[in-house]
Amino acid sequence: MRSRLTTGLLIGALATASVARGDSPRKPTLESIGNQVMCTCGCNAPLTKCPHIDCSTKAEMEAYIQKGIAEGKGETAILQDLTLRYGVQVLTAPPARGFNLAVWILPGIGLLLGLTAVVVIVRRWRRRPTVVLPTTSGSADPNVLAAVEEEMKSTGLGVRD
Amino acid sequence: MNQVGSVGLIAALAFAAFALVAGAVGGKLRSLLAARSAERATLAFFAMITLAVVALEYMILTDDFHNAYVAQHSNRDLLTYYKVAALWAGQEGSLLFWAWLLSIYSALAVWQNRRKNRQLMPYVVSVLMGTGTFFSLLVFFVANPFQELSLVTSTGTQPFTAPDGNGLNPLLQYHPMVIHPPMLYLGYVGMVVPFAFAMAALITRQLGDNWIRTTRRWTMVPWMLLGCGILLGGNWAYAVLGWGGYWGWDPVENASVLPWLSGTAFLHSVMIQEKRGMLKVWNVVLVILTFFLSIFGTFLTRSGIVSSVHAFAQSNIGPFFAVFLAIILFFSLTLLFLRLDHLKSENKLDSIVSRESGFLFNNWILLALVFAVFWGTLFPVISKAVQNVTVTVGAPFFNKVAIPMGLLLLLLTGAGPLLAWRKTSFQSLKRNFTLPLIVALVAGGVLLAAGVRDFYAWMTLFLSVFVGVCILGEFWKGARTRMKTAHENFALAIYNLTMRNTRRYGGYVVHLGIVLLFIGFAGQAFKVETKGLMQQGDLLRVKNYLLRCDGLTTGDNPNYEYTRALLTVTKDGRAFASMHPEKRFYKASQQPTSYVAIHPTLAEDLYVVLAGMDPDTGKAIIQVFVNPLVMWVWIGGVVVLLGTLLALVPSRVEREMAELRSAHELTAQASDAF
Amino acid sequence: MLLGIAVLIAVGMATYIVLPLLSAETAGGSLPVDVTVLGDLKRRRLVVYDNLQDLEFEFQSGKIAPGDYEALRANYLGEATVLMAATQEAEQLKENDAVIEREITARRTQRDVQIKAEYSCPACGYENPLPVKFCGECGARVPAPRKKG
Repeated sequence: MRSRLTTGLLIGALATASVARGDSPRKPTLESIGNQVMCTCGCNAPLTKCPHIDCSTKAEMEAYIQKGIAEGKGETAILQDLTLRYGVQVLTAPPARGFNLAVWILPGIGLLLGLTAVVVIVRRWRRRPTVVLPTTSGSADPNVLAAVEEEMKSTGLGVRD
Repeated sequence: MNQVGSVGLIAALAFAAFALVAGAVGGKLRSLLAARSAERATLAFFAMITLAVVALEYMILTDDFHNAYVAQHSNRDLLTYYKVAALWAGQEGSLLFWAWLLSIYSALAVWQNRRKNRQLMPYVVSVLMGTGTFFSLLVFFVANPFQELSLVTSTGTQPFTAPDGNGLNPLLQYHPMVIHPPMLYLGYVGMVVPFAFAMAALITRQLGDNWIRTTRRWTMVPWMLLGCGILLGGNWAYAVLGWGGYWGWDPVENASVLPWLSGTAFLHSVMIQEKRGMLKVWNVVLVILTFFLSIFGTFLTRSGIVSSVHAFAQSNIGPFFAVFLAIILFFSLTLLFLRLDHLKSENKLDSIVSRESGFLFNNWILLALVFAVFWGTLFPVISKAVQNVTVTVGAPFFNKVAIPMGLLLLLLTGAGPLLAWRKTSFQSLKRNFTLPLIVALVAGGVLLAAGVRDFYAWMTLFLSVFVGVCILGEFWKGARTRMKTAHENFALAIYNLTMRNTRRYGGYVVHLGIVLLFIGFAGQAFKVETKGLMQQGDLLRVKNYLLRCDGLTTGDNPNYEYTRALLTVTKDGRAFASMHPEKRFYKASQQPTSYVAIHPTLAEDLYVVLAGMDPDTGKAIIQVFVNPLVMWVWIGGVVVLLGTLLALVPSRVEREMAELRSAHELTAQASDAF
Repeated sequence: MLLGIAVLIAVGMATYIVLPLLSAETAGGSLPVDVTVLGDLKRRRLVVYDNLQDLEFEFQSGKIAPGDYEALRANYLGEATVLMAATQEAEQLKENDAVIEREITARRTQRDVQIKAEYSCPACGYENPLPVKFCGECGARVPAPRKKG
């Protein structure tokens, strides 16, 4: 029981932590925004990770972001500008609105469904009737038991190391 | 040579198709001769694909530019070992390479089982060669590497020999890149063998102990190689792409990690079946899933249905793969459904606090992770289809989803080994968890005092310490008992302990490796980065490092031109290293790339990129990263590899079983397979 | 030239594959059984012993309460004895089969002896292979065998 409780608490702690981390109003930097938008040069990498040397697209986008920062815009505002300019695919992850909500929600649903499945399986396993076996003290034939012990000794299995 | 290759491919295709049929017939009729014929065809398939590979490699190495593939992916001045790697640098060649690895695995499986699993083998061969048929069809008809280069002129197309090739993609010209794709492919392709055994066991209804043990070993090897491949890929990204990281949640990276995760789930839940006869259906499902995801990964890499930083894109092989994937799913799931009655569980769960339920939770998280990554990777395609809007699902999504699950897994990595099979006492749990918890809390306090404020990084390090102490504690407890009972010294006790139960302790070593990996991951949170313009005499400070530019030089060699920055680095005022990042321009492919200078230490890497030249000042743009703990990712990978090798050493019970098989079961009927 | 060699290799391989199918032994025999009943029982016992070994280890390292340990150990030993009993029974059956087999052979030999004895010619001593009224060698009358009760 206790381990279940501990697990539960941990999951809870992780969940709240991940929510709490979400959006803190901080001053945007080129890097913080660059990590949230893709470079549109065709490299399919985030702006900060474009592998191309002297990438002109990257330079242009960075200049645009710098301008936004200089104008004192917030992170959301700059991201909004970029989305208007390049389309929603410029964001490294879609906003959690409309159909795009699905991408964020389904992993959670999957996690819960999995948990349900595990719980169901465990309960079914628990309910299965115990197989009644002759125990050493009871009905077992001493000859058979001797044979078992003989075999254990000869294989070196089932005995203390 | 093109014709030789084509002959190899046609013959291979014919042999694979023959083995597919002969194997099934031989299995059905239990005919020794048909089975023998099918097995010989598998070996012949290997021989013929090898012939094709040799033909292509010969053309690459001899700069035979009338072959279109060679002209596209190699050039005269390429270093020889990069030329060898040109075999898998493009679509056609890499599919041929895939088929070749498949043929090697198949031949090995046939050879290894020449005196055992005789009833299963015809079907195993049939499934292996079914896959072989698919790939040779693809290589021969859709992506044939043995095509003449031709020139379209006004008078029609003419054969044409290029004076020099386009060259290997410069991003691929990096040493680990020569072994990264083979490792990754060996991982992907190898998953076909467990799948083939699972299908054969289902068909023959021989769903006892034999197939699951054979399958477990045959899963561990590709699982290990896949892991190596993934890490080598990370290492390549780190050393070549120049953004200071090794993992970017690119679709192709995700595709490679999916079968690894489901394979991990299988390697755990298989133990429940081996020891307790439970989870039989689930294990078959995991084998099917792992194979499916391997093929799916190959499909994703090549079809271009999702956009990725990786080279292969835009191709017409997508539909073929889609059909093949559908066949796999239909065939295997139908078979599984038909055999459900034979897969009943033999035991019940004695207690919720047990190793069994630990494995269930592990499987739960791993599969949820597989689902989340799969879903995120495919979502752009789904979004395009449903709402006709292209979206990108990148690192922010995957980090948010995968990090919490990864942390839960990390916790299980330590907690699982402390659980006993069937029933664990609370007393012992309390006792066994106390010390690790105390140590971890102390470490956590120290980290907080040292200024670690990132929650995930703190949590990762906290859990890593906890898990590390848990597992080392297991070694310590075992050794102590041996020291007492067998009067051995500590080192000998550890050695004997490990060698007497290679599976248990090999597994623990793998877990330790995973802990090291996580420690390395946590380091990402403490990355420091700076950028500056430099020329001779300029200084750049990052953390406690001071970089001094001693000049910029340029040079030329047959393969590329380069600009090199000569940097002398001091750390806390003491001489530390001299580093020479380069910007290169490859002549054959006309592409610029950077050559990153990395000075790795156990604590942190100093990572310097020459990102370009500033057009206004003519100075070099130098980007410097201080990447803490990256080294532990690679060390962790090596530890995982060693642990897996250890766990592959046959345990006593496995040796007994092998002996049983050779002594009692097959003596009367030993017959050579070939 | 190279092409010729390649084709030759392919043809050679094809022959190598087809050869078993053209083999003289048309029936060819069937695939050997890889799991025998006795082998399977033994294998399952080995698994139980392995579990017992783990149980001992886990008990020693204090993960299992003494009461649970006793119960689980008894349970595993019970499983092993059931499997061992099944093995012994199967072996007994096999032995019984062998006894019956021996009996049959013995009786058959006996019968052959009887036949031989009963149809041998009283005149020349030739042992007629089949029941006959007259000796196949000398033509003398062979007396009908006595009916056994």
